[in-house]
Amino acid sequence: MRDIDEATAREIRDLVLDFFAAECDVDRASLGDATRIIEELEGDSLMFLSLLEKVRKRYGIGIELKTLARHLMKKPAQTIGQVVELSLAIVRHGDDIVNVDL
Amino acid sequence: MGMTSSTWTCEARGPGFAVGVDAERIARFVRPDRSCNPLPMVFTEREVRHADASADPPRALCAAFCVKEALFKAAGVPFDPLGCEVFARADEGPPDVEVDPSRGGDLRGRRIDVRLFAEGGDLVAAVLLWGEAGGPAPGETEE
Repeated sequence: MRDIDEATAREIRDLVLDFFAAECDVDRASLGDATRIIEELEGDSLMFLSLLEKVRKRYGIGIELKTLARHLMKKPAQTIGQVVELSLAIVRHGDDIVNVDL
Repeated sequence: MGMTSSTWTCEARGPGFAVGVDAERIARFVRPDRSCNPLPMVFTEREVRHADASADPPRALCAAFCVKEALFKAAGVPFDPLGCEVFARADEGPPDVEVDPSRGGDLRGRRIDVRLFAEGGDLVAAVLLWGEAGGPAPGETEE
């Protein structure tokens, strides 16, 4: 497991918020943890995969999509807050995420 | 066909077969930087090279993405998208789908029928997945 300090956690949160603000062409200030990605932002799987690639590249993480899909079937990420939590978990656990009870 | 959203979904599963449908806007697969794989967790290098050698690389990548998404919906369980390669054809017929025996998971040994439909700037993939995971497709005998 990788340790994440407060600054990195903030950076990951900023990365997620900046990404959705740019992709969905909305004011970042209008996004909050409760914002629903599909219903309110018309987000989709391609958008989510693009974000995941950014997280993977930025933090040099190895994770298989199959592993992540298994995790998401158990615990879907539907809001901005949930995607932030998921991104933090991916950086912390990588492929072990499927064995982690978040 | 008009689409108000960039993506929509359909899935159905019955005894011995399953259906998955996915649609995307082709423009979303335009890459400013052609030197790298846009989604290394989804596309193999071979798929990207094949797309780049085609007359319409964004359409080829869009087709591969839609087919993989539709297969995921039909299978109902996660599989490694890198274990199933999709190569769009120049004649705009059904793409060639190759399942890696070592990485194909629940897609291994199953018959996969694919149709692509284009409308304006959108591409729709409809996938019919035959047989049960680990079993022969209807009308086929297990070797």
